Amino acid sequence: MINIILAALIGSLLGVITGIIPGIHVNLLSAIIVVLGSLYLNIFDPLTISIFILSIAISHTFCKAIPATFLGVAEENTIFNLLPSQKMLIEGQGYEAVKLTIIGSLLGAFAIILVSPLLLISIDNIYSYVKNYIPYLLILSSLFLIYKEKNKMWALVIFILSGIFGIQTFNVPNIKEVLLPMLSGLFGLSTILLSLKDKVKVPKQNINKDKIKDLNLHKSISIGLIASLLVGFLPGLGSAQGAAIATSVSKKNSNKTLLVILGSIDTIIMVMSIIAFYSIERARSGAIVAITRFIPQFDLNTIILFMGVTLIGAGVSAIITLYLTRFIANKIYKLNYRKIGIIVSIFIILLVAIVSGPLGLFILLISTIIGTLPIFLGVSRSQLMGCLIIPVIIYLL
Amino acid sequence: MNDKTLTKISLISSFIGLILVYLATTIIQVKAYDISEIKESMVDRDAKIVGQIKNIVKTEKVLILLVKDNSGSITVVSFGPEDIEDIKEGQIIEARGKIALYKNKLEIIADSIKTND
Repeated sequence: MINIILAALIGSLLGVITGIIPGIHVNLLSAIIVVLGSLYLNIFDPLTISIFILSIAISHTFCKAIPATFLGVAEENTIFNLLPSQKMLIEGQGYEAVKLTIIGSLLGAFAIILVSPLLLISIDNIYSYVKNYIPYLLILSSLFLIYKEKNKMWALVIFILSGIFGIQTFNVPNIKEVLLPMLSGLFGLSTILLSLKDKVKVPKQNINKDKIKDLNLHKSISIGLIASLLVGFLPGLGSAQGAAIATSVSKKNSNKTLLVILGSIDTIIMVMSIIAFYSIERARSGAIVAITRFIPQFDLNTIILFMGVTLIGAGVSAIITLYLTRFIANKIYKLNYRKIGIIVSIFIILLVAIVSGPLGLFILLISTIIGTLPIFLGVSRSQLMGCLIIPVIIYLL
Repeated sequence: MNDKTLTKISLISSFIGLILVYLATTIIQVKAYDISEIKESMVDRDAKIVGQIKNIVKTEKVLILLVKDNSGSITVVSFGPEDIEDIKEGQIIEARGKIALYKNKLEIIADSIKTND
């Protein structure tokens, strides 16, 4: 038991570190751990390594709100945070913005674990009925999200363009971690470069430790849970699509409520991917793919253990993220935001060069250009997820 | 929700997590399998089998048992010298341990072996 708790604690700490480093996607980290974990199999048992990976993934979902809020750097599933959290940052409420996503993540973890017995019983039946309709569900949900846009034609163009780019990128031979340059460009580098152009000045941040008013937590977590359930078991869909659905049904809500919802979705979908693997034997996240390299099958005992580790990781990372955010919020206005943006950009380029090589850099260039288009064309950046959704639709049809 | 409440809920979350980990590792039993249910895809998982000892090979440090139930047979290996005493062919045992693959054959590396006595 001690080895499990230690793995959970060390994993949570590492997840905090990877969460605050811009551009480090949890899938990339999982791939690295699979390689390293194989080397350490003689020292640690597979279960301990699996718990280590899970803790990193859970902690990562808490901490990535920090770069998304303070640096404008997001993974594919934090892109929806950008607008509300950056608005709050400019208003000096960056600390509160991250705190809201922490509240969402923590309560989301509780909510999904509470409903997990129901999911464990029913998902197998529901999935076996629904799986033949998955490509059509994907088409319908994508069309729905395009229909919700103001500029429908440009949204469709961006969606299809991203899809073609995704298909081409997935067909590039001999490239490692192809998602890294693709997603870093679409959602990371493009955002930073545009923020450099705008010369953002971050004001002194208000550290509000008091009660946040006007929060409807029941409603927020319920929306987060329902949106996650709609997408969590479908291939190619994940927290980004969950966030898109949640955003579209909760546009009337305040930025604060929206941040709680978006914070909850990431963590809920991470836990759902554990349930999905147990019930339908489909790995729905990079972290679960990595875990299954060490534990090929989950039993009920493993699920209970993983739920426990999730709650330990959630508690530990919530506290660390809160204190870390307080520290960063106190310093951020003193820092040269432009310099930070340039350093982060160089970091992402170097990371892609090291991991994915020259081809990766080329993909990063193209994806960065495509990533800037939605902003110029007045389209939601969620349409860029066509790069994942269209290849999945083609694969399933 | 203020910072104090958030910290309290975080601590409660970790505490509940610890209880679940404790339950999963100590109270909830390892799943019992028929021997024929044990497959290569289950390597490294914990398992429990109940069967009759058909053959015993003893060395100074290792005890190797061929255990058979109604569905098939499997080798159970124990590196615990305390298990070496009091075991005879024909006895029914319950072996708990990790499933392993050795020279392309499945076996159970036993953490514990209990006899029907």
